[in-house]
Amino acid sequence: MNHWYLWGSYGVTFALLFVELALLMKRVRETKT
Amino acid sequence: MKWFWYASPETFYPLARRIALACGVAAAALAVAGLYVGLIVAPTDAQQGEVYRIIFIHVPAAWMSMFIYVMMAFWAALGLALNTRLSGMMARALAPTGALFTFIALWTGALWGRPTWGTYWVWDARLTSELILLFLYLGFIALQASIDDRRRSDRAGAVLAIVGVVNIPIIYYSVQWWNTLHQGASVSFTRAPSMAATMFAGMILMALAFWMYSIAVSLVRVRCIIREGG
Repeated sequence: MNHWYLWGSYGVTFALLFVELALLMKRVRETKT
Repeated sequence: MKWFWYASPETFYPLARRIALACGVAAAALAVAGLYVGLIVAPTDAQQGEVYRIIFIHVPAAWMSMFIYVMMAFWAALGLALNTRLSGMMARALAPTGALFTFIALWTGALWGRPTWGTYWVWDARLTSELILLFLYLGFIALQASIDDRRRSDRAGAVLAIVGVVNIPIIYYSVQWWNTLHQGASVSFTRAPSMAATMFAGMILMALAFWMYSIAVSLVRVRCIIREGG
């Protein structure tokens, strides 16, 4: 059960960081055109 | 270092790319090292078992949430005092990443609190002041977005950011000033860390990784803001 808390923390953290990176890359592409 | 030379968005733009690249590479390397130490090398905690490993993202994220806010307020204040365009841009570039780390600190704290305290959330001073920090970030972002005139939005945002700085020492000292469910500081400048050396190393590596990530992402964002015309 405790593993759910552990991987819920790591999973959501890195998912959010990747979402931020993806949105930023999209903005980079849009502002370059 | 020619500080005033780099205060111009046009001259800062190419420098920001070089720093962002270096910090991005450093962030990836430090994160791999930090995750290796935190998830594989560091021993299982005698009392909490494996769930304590949340510390390797929770504490660095909480540090970054406060540090980024101080940096955001610093840039905003500089812009207010010197009327430099780049300062407001830097403050705007930092805010989303600061808000993200604040949310991560709250989220991981809730998931750590449930198995150790028996609850996801409690309205104690540390948790509540960290939640206020998230609202300050969101307020700053919303305020900036709601005013079309960039000079005016930067000035309004700067006032909010500077006033909000008062919340940072409240977060930091809340566990000393009030009786809280949240534990005291894990690391202090005045005493040795109260944890195993490998646990401490994992936490510092992840903190450095988050730090490098924040610099890289903020500089890429400020380059977008410059390209968008400020």
